[in-house]
Amino acid sequence: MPAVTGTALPNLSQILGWDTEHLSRAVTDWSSIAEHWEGAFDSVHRGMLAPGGTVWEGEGADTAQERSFGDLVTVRGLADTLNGAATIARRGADPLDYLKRQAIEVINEAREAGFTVGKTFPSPTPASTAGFG
Amino acid sequence: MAGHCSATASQLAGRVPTPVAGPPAQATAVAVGSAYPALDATAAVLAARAQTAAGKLTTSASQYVRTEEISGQRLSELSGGPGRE
Repeated sequence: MPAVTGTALPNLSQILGWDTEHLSRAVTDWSSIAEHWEGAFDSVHRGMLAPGGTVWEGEGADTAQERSFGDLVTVRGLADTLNGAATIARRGADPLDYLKRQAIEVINEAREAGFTVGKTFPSPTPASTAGFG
Repeated sequence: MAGHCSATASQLAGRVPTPVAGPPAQATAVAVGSAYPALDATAAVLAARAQTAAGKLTTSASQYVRTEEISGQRLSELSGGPGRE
């Protein structure tokens, strides 16, 4: 499939082959990774507060707990970013799927009406094909 | 706790899945594909961070145990040493 760049309209094969599986998968993967990262560092921080179930206090405990809390805050920021990217991917996949279905529907309607929809659609074409190459 | 951190590090390192390859002509496929190596790199940094914590905890635990042993020995010497009975 040739690249679709700038504002160039996709041709017929590009429309038929338009894929959003990578976006749907990204939504699942990125949300899962974000949850895992946050859960892992939350677990580490809670463990630092009470290793083995016993409250840990003292200078060393303070240092370790501050470090683990700082890590957790950082990872929460990363998880937020990743969840944001997953949301963008989801919002991109849904309209692309819809538009693909719409385009295919229009193409089928044109064919049923007797028009020829060629591979170079929608480039300029002879009048006999009424705009479809 | 050190073991928990070490296990966390292992889980973080191997967690990022292989992406589904989309058509290279689609900008979204290129963008999504480029995100996964970045996620791999980030996961590696997080895993290293957790592993470092595990190392520090192990060192701290060893030092704590050693300090306890030394303190115990000194107390024993105070209570049972020569001339102290």
